[in-house]
Amino acid sequence: MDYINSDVGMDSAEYKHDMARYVWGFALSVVLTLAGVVIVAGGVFSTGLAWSIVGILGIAQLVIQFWAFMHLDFSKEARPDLYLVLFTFLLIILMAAGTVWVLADLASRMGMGAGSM
Amino acid sequence: MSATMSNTGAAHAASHDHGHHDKTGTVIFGFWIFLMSDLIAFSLMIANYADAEWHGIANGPSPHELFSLGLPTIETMALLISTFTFGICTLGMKYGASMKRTVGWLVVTLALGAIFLGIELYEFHEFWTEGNTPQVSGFLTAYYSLVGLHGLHVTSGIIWGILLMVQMKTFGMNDLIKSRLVRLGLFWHMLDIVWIALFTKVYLMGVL
Repeated sequence: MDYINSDVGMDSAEYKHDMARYVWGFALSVVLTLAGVVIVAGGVFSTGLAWSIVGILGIAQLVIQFWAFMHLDFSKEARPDLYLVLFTFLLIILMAAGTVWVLADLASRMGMGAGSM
Repeated sequence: MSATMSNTGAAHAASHDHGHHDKTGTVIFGFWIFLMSDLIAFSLMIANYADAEWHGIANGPSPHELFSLGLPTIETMALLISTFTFGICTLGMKYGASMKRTVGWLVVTLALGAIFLGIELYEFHEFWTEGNTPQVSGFLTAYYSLVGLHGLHVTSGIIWGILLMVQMKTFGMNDLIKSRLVRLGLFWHMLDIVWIALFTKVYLMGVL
């Protein structure tokens, strides 16, 4: 994939095709962001349900932005980037979840209120 | 990595152009590795924050008492629009847009980044003058360091963008400058992706 040069100009079909991806990414991100705000501010759902929905909306927006702005997809050109990102998220899940687990366990052993829920 | 190297060699034998482009690709992949290590750093700061807002309130305010959604939502929109305008900037550059257009969209992007930072600093100032300083609780320490670290990244992105505009004026839009602009673009997009996580975890889930 060529990141910095193209044989064709800004009036080409390729440009419009690439631009459509950015526009979709932006539009979906705006919708998902505002949906999260409305769900939290509206207070229609129970706290637990709203928490879950907002989390899922956030993850959806994360995937959309990797696709739209950082050109991550299943194409051959993006494959090394994709593997790198997937491995990074494996590390993140292990280390972030491990951190929360260890710290919460410590807190509950020390008898700190919220931890012993 | 060795596969990439041998590909570069083969492509170079076939065509002079391709060898050059593959070098750009290698440099950009290297930058991706930096971005992913930065992402891990951010994710561990978030994990630390998640525990601090849970067990580390002490005698200070809880996230629910401290945060409101108004300003953070405007802040989020400013950064979201800026990541889109950076996309317009780099995509146009690839398809041979004039330097004036490229610089113009970069200026719009950096200005939106400055608005984002301004709102963030205003909020820090408000919390601080209400007596909610980092010393008050583990939660506030984690809040200032997590959101502050992101703000520091945006600040360095703005400085980097200004320096790049000086380079554009000095050297013109050659391939090296273009490659640098694409890498700054990836950095900027990454910062908005990190902000999705911060906005969701700190503000949306905090207010709940």
